[in-house]
Amino acid sequence: MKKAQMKMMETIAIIFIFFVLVLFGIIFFYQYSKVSINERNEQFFAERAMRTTLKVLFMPELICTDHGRIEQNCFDLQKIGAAKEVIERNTEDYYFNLFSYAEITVHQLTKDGMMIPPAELDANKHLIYSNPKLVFTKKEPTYFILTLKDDITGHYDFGYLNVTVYS
Amino acid sequence: MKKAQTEMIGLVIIVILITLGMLFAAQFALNDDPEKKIFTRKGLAYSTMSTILVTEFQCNDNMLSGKELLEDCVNVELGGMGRYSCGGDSCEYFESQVSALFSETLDKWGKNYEFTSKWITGTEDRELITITPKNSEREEIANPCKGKDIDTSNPFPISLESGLIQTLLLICD
Repeated sequence: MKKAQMKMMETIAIIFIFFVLVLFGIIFFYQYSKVSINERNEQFFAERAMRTTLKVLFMPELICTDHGRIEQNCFDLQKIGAAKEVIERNTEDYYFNLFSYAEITVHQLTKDGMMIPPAELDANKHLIYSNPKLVFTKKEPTYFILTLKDDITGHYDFGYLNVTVYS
Repeated sequence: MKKAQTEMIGLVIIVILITLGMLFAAQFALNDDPEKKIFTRKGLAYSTMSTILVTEFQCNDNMLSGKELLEDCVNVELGGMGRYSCGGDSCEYFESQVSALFSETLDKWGKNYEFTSKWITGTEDRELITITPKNSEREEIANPCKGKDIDTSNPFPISLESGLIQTLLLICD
């Protein structure tokens, strides 16, 4: 083989390696973009879950008030009972814009100062809003512990809020 | 420039490129805790603590809030009888009720926690109640939040004539 041919072979090898490296770079960038887009989607979804929970926690339809003063982390059991019907009737024209595809429940764990037996917990679960997505890719539940005030007896019970959002 | 020098420069460029690639990958791998996770833990710790102190528990014919039970617990700790007896003294009753509530909530959601209540006077700190998750043998796990990402409810102080009760809840994943 002549010297010029050798040089030519060397150049071809260098160009080949260069293109292999460029290809690796493109594959790596593509994978990175894919993962970062997924991550951003997840972040948006998590933020939606957070925003929905905050909206529920400060809903005037549910929160306790004492002579006009808002009681923090507290839902009024009488308001919950009344809100259920109102929310169900106005889901499409108002509450869907607020919560989109989600399910909001309040679980009561004590009643009149006594622990509710596990068998009766389902009977003391209050469904506030139910609009689950039938075919969903992701589901994110968020929990918050709350005081449940019975305005008739004036007692404060223990419960929690479960906000599950769907995408 | 000699051939050896040119090759050396080539090697240095390759090393720099590999280092940059590794830094890029490390930045990609080391992700911070998402905002939602932090918000949930912090909000949960605060709301749990405030709810525990307000929730009322039945003690014979009395309805006593968590705060009142803790106040009475100090009387027990001081060697007195305590004003209320609910199958046990106020400290035991508070601990059993709150443990039962945590096992229905935080335990089920896979959260680790450490609830502490201290009585602080000018001269001493005395531990009143500590509640942590239990293992399969129903024994309390010591330091469940050690080495984990922790969020706190911030101390909730209750003022007494004899000092201060400070309650704190730590929640970790």
